[in-house]
Amino acid sequence: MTDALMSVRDVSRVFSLGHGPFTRQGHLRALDRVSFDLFPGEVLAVVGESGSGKSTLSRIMLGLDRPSGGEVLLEGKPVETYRRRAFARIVQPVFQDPYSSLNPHKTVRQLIEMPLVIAGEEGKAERLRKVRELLDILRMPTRMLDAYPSQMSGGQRQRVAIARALISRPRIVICDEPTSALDVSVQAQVLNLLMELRATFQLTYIFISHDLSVVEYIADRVAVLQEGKLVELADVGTLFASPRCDYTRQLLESALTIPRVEESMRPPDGPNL
Amino acid sequence: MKMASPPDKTTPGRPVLEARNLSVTIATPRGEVKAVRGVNLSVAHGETLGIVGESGSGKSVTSLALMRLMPSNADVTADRLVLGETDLLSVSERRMADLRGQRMAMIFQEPMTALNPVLTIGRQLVETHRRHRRASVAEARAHATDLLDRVGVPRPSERLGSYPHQLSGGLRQRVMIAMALMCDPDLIIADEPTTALDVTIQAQILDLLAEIQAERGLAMIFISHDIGVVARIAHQVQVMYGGQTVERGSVTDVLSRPEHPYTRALLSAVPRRGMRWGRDKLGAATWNGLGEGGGE
Repeated sequence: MTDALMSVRDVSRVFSLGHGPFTRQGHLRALDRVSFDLFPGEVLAVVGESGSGKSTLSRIMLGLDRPSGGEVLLEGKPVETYRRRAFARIVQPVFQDPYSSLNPHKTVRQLIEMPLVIAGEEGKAERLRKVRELLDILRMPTRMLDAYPSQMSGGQRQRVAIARALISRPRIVICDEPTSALDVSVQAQVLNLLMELRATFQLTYIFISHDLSVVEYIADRVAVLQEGKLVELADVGTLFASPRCDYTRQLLESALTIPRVEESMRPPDGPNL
Repeated sequence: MKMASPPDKTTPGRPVLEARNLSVTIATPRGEVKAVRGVNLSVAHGETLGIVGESGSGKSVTSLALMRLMPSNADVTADRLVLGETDLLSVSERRMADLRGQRMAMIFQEPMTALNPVLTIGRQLVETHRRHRRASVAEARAHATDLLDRVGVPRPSERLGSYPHQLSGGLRQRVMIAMALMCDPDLIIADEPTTALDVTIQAQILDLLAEIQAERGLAMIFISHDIGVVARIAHQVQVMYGGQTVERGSVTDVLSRPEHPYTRALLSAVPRRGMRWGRDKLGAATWNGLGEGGGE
């Protein structure tokens, strides 16, 4: 058994409610003693409905929030022992909404090279070379370098967000609903791209999603969250074929799918139709 | 799971709503945008027509044009636009306001923005009814309570006093459905009614809509970007792209034997149960046959 790249140990997150004059006093347990390991090279999907704690978990794994109890280990060491920059070189995010996750005043080039600028290790020319190389891998034309987010489609923006995540060559990418704001054809492109990049860059993904068909397509293992508790964690085949937990079964039954198109009806691969 | 079988292609009876060559042109500072270009559609009693398309395909503009809810910079033209016996192109704005709610009602995606946050749901339901039916407050309240009960809102008479923010997303959408039903319309237009909801709630709401549609013999136009949702609820489906209908037919035909290359490309991009990366690959070809497209 390989060593875990990241370990979530007994993590809880309690939000206290009731600071304002109109709110109820009390506590909200967003995560309740969640534990799992993330292994190198795998795609671990986290599924659950709104309020299940998916996003709180992603924020904690990204170091954007601290657990109220328990700990997160990165390569065996508590995340608190990492300096911010060292942590960011290993773990990077891709968020849901590329319309709000990109600074509208920055060009594609500025957006993508920002992690390198912050790290402050390379000169301008070297940064530009890396940005160009990455755009090439993401199949984006280099004329996009000086474009602003407002000039781009949702799929192109999400590619920029992915490029920004990958420029510092992280080991773990935490994707929080990366395709749910996109049209289905663009979603397909981004999912295929993420999976190709996994091989190219030897990435490990945490993939947070509410869409079970997407999860089945790309995940190796699936963790199911319900009201802050990890109710099931299994490899994707097992989970879809024989879910142990009632809640998982309910989720699977509610997911809507369409019949497979006959093979002969598939559009040809490759160039535009 | 309730799911009516798709009717024959030749559904008997006159359509509740029929549009021929419907076009919408929107004047913007950068010039005219032809958002809808010559769309034909018709929907009969007891039938659900699904309209699917990606963003910018014109599906929502089509639905708003049918309700004549377009802003003044939009020009709506059609060879024919009829609701039952009424020609929607020639009726006055005032008559149109009567028709909306009474004969045709709309259910929107985000109930929190469609409901008035400072009025109780009882007040909003009763107001709809009194506006159109001139019923007494007591009658309207009784009717509202019955409908809330029908759409599965627990303790309906207490709920009349609740404000929208006190309800969950699923309950709010049930209230929206009750509100659409208050005047017993012939046609319901639902624009992405379950998109903001969790999957388990979505399944409940779709079942509820299908039940109510069947039990009242309603005509329903159901707009969604989600083909799985349309497959679950619609009998007929119309696929839109670039403001035009590219394919139309029964759900079974269109989804299992798509003829148009756009429909095929769209369907191949949808992840289905049992598809795995490495063994299967989602189709990511962009279809570029109509005007602009996302070719890369």
